[in-house]
Amino acid sequence: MKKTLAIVASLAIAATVIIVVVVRRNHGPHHHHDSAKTGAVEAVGIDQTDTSVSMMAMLNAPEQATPCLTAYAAIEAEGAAMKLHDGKSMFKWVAPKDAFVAACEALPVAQQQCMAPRYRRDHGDDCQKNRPMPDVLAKMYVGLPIVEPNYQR
Amino acid sequence: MMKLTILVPFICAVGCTSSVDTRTPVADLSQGLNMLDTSDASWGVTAAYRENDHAVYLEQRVGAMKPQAYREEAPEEPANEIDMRFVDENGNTFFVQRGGDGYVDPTWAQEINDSLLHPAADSDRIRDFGLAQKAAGEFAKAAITNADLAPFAFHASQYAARAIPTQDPTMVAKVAKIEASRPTDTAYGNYGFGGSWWFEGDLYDKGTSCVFWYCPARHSSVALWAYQTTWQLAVIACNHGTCAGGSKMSYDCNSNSGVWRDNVTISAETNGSTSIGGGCLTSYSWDSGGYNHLCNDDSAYELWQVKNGGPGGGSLDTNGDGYNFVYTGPGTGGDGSWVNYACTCAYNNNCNNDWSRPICP
Repeated sequence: MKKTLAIVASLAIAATVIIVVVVRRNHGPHHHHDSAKTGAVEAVGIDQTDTSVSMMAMLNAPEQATPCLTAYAAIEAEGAAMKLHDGKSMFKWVAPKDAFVAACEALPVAQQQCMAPRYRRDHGDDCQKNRPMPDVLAKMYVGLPIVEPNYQR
Repeated sequence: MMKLTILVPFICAVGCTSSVDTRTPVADLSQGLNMLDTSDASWGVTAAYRENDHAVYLEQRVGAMKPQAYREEAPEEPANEIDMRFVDENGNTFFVQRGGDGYVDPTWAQEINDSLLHPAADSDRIRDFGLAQKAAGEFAKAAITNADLAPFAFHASQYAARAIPTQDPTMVAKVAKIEASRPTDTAYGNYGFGGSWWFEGDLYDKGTSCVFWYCPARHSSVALWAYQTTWQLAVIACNHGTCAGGSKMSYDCNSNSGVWRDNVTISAETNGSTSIGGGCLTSYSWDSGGYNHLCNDDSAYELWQVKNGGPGGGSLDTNGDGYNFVYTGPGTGGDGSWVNYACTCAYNNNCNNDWSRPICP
């Protein structure tokens, strides 16, 4: 009886071994997965910098009827986000809406499209190659040079 | 005894399979692409590519989630930092791309340094780079059709689009200059395998946080190449963002070792005076005036290590501990303004203007 039990048990174990090996072969080896590595552990604070807040606000501004209106809506969203964030806008100066939109609509169509932040992001190379003259851009906005906080030791 | 007889096969079935031995021997691989381990996309993938009797292995490992700002700015790239490398059939790494400051799998660092002790014959390494290009292309095609594996297609497709170093006119031109600098009395004969190395560091950058035609900051990344009698190893330091050599990145400038170096290692900032090419290990943040750094500090550190053979030398000052790296010098604006890059900005008179890329020393 004991002998029979031992044989049955051995067969059961052997079956288990085969199943485990097959499963491993089908699904690959188990990995020691450190879940901490998928956390944003290195990028402390990046999303809270003024530049990031500005960019994300502009990228997520609602689409308007035209690229130029979308561009101005993005600027308004950036201003509102900076107020909420108590940060500094990435623009030194922006033209009033009417003047901004008028200057934008005077651009060739391809350049107007690049005024919409999401289009510009998705067509960065084309937009960079098709850059208006600085004096044209200066009628719409002037970017603010980044000055880093003066940390003290 | 009977219990032990029963238990041993059971325990082995559960625990004896190696978790790292996923590189199937060449002879057991099918011709072309072999997906060796795709069981856990949150961990990474391992694949191989065989052509006739030779093969290379492609490994990718998933690192930290990128900040939301990076993900929104480059939605075509993986949401996580990903390390990717190619390993030859002898287990030596010949191309590695590091997403962040250290390797997701820390064992890679030692394996990469060991690879410098076992350079391949020139013809083998040239073949390896060619196979890697084919592997990357085939892998990208296969991965993009699978929702779980799609994030791994990006870096592979970027690699596949590169020329292999011996067919890249820029790299070929570098070789001519490097060989011209080889001391005549030690040419070839005494610079054998395991011997001296020449290092090149190529800086790439792109505008970041761009809207309209205004980019308030720049992201930079360094491609480090190790040469002996052919290009043996590439270490691409992505510095948390888009990787050097990838689309959207522009080549800026180059630094090189200027001399042939022995007994080098490739690791991060806390290593000794012979370490080359690692990035900063402090926290990563754009407010880099504190106890932290940003991508351009990484790049400055990497380039200065390429040039100086490790921390120290030139205007690279580490306060004697290999950690408090700081570089002070003219900026890239051409207006004579000075910049200050550091891994721990707060220790080094703060970082100044490091939102822009460094110059190549």
